[in-house]
Amino acid sequence: MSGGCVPYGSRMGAMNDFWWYVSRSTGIMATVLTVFSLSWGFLFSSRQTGKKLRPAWWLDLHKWLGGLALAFIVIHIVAVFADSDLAIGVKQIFVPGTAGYNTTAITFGVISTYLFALAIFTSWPKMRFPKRVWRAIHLTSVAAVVFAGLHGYQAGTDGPSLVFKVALVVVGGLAVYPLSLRILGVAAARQSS
Amino acid sequence: MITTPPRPQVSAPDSGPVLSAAERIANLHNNDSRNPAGPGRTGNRPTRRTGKRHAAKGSRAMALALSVTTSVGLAGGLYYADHAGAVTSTATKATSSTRTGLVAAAAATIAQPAAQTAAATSTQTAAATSPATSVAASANGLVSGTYDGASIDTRYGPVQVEIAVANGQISTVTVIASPDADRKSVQINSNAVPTLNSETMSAQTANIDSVSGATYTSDAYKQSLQSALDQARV
Repeated sequence: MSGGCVPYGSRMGAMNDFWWYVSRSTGIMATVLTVFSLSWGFLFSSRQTGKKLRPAWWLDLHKWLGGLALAFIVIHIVAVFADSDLAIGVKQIFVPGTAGYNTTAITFGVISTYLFALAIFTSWPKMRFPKRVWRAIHLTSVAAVVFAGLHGYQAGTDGPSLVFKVALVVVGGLAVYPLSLRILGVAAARQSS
Repeated sequence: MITTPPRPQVSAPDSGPVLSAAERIANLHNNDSRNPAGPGRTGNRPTRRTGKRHAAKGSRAMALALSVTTSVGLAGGLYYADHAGAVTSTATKATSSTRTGLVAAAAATIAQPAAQTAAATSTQTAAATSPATSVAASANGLVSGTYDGASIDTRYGPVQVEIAVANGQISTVTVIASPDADRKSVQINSNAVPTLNSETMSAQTANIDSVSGATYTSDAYKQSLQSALDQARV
């Protein structure tokens, strides 16, 4: 709450509208890309990539999709920051729980970004980590995707729409198959050892 | 005394012409497999490498192009959906508000004398039973009843406030109209309106703080509220 807000001119309003649509579209796209990246990673690690395409192709695309998702997340954050109607500042972007409205939903988004960034930035110096530690860190991306979905559903303007709900279920469902393959693979490996 | 056997004479391999240090480094570089020109090649023309650095180079480009295109398409689609919705909702609103307006006008005509009588009765009753309330009411100068503030137009849509006054105090505040032409306005106002209402209830005046991020709504709300309070003072 703050008194004495500066009224916006029409140009500022038009720019805000532009950023508003950029933030919505990039937010949706980032969520879809994170799910795709996660699916590619699970397919690769469960060695269920078929014979047509080499494992290197899957790994390379997995990394690329992750990086692309992070780029869209960054654009989403910049757009939300640039839209002055939303009153999201640097503090609200970086510190969870500081947003004046939709606090829980925005907190989910902030946490999701941190977890996803952690998974990506620890991929580059992968060899410096013990394998088990790196894997545990990398698995935080699953939580990141869940938080991103909750953030989109609760904070997103399009959350209540039927199209968004259906899309969320479809995209989430796409990740279920590779995830179950991976879990089954791990379970089988543990049984045999 | 042990004498070391003489070393067999091995003819030195033909090392060719004597090379300078720079030439030797250049030769090593040419034989290095990481050299983009390839081992043994001295030319500057890059040749096709045996191992690809990015195994999914084509798919990467496709993913990037698809993501950007989809994102731009989504933004356009959302804009179209919002504005198509706005046209429909405005049309619906115009029809329904005309109808509601007629009904409301008829109801007001019937109810006004009754409300005036009720207000007068309640003021008299309050004066008779509770002098403290009566003093408060007269201090505020608000007459009991329901008052609609002026409809204030903003660039996102009109804002109109209705107040109910009882015992010289604002007992309820209702926002009759707020910008709802697009989802963004709905989202912003769903947060701003309850805040403005609660501020009004505690301040009991139109001198309240604006809600950050809802400047247009806040300013219009305060103006509409002030006009409703002005009516209540008459």
